[in-house]
Amino acid sequence: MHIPDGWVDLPISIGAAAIGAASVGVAGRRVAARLVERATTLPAVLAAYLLVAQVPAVPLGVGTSAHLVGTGLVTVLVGPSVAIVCVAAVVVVQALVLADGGVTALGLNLLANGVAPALAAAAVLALGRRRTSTSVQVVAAVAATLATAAAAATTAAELAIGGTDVIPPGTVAGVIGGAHVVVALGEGVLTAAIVGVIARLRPDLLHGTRLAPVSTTGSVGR
Amino acid sequence: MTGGGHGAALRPGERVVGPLDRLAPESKLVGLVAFLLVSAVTPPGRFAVLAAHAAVAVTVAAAAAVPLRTLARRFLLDVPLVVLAFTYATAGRGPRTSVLGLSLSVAGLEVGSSMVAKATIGIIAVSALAATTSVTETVTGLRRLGLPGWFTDLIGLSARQAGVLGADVERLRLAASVRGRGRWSEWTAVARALGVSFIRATERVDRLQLAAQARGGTSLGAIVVAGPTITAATAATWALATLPAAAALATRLLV
Repeated sequence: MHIPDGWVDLPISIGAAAIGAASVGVAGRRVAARLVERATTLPAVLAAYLLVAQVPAVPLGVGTSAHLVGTGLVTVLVGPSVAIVCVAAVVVVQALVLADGGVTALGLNLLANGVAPALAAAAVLALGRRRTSTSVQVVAAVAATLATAAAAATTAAELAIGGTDVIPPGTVAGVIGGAHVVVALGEGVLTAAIVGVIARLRPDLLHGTRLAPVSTTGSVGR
Repeated sequence: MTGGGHGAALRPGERVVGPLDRLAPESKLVGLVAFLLVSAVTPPGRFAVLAAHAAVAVTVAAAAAVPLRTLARRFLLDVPLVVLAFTYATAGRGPRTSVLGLSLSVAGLEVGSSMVAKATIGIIAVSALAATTSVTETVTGLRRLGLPGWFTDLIGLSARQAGVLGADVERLRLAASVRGRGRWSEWTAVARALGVSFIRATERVDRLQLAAQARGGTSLGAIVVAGPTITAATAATWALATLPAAAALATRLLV
């Protein structure tokens, strides 16, 4: 979910924009150091991939539909720095070209959909690398689920802190959290299936994750 | 999807050029942000002011010839927000009122409906910008406003690649879904399409890299941003582009 214009007060919006811009600056420097000549092309193409993947795919009724958020997937496959830079490009294009998410809420949406989920997924990734028996598909599923949960929690926190005091913060958190339980689990399943397809067709693309490969007898993604 | 953000009814290359198209993109971006800030800081419950802001946004969108179908699709994506705003009314504090048999908080109703109004005003205003500004122009505008070149290059390139990948994913989904059977076929079709599309995306990175090397450089910046052909803002441009924001501010102070 993207926060629109006028839902969170100005000080919190500007603060989030400052933290978001600083995060993208740090992530951008790390991407430039690591990817060198691919520092523009790889994040740009993956941002395009996320823009496409976020187009509503499977309708779930009442105006909502299942689609990939993708921050968890990108974090597992190419790392949190690339993911943060990607999502920054994604939220700018969505806000200015697709009218999805507020222009004055750009920082809020960057923190909620990029920085927080990328860090959550990176923590899962670090744990997964220690447990050598856990396959990349399982790590991807858990990382994507927790990334989406982190995104929902950040959105709820932003609305609770900078929103209105007309309802208790707990109610906002409950409504957003409850709505995202299914979304987070769906993200995990979809991400595992996508990783399964990649593992079957181009296992070399998963080497960078430094995780145990998927067993090719698994049925997911077949 | 992101092929310039122009009206869906127009074929590529067919573009109705109106007065808003000719404004320098940096002035339109500043004008948009200024307008949205004025609207955002309007206290909840000032419905006359919000109605005036909506009127300003609709006027600009009409001048920009934003297709109604595009607007309707964007409003539909915001249904979850309306649901959330509705909980502000049902779970809000303070005195309650009865609307169609439902007991709602007066303050919550005021805040919730003001938020939906602001979100709607935002969608209309951004749609006016998107309908009259190509992605290249938007990126140039952001660059002129001081955003780092590596980041604006990234935005420009990703918006262009989204058009390429989007068409590809649609074909992949269709191919997977016509062969699918059973309850989970839609899900597996989506997963397969996105998995294959991810692989193709990494292959596109290689192709783009090869093309950049063939041109004799590793930088893509000069290719992404076609700067000089896009008009720069003059004093008159700035005045015209910030007119909606000025009108919004005037209604906020006077109404």
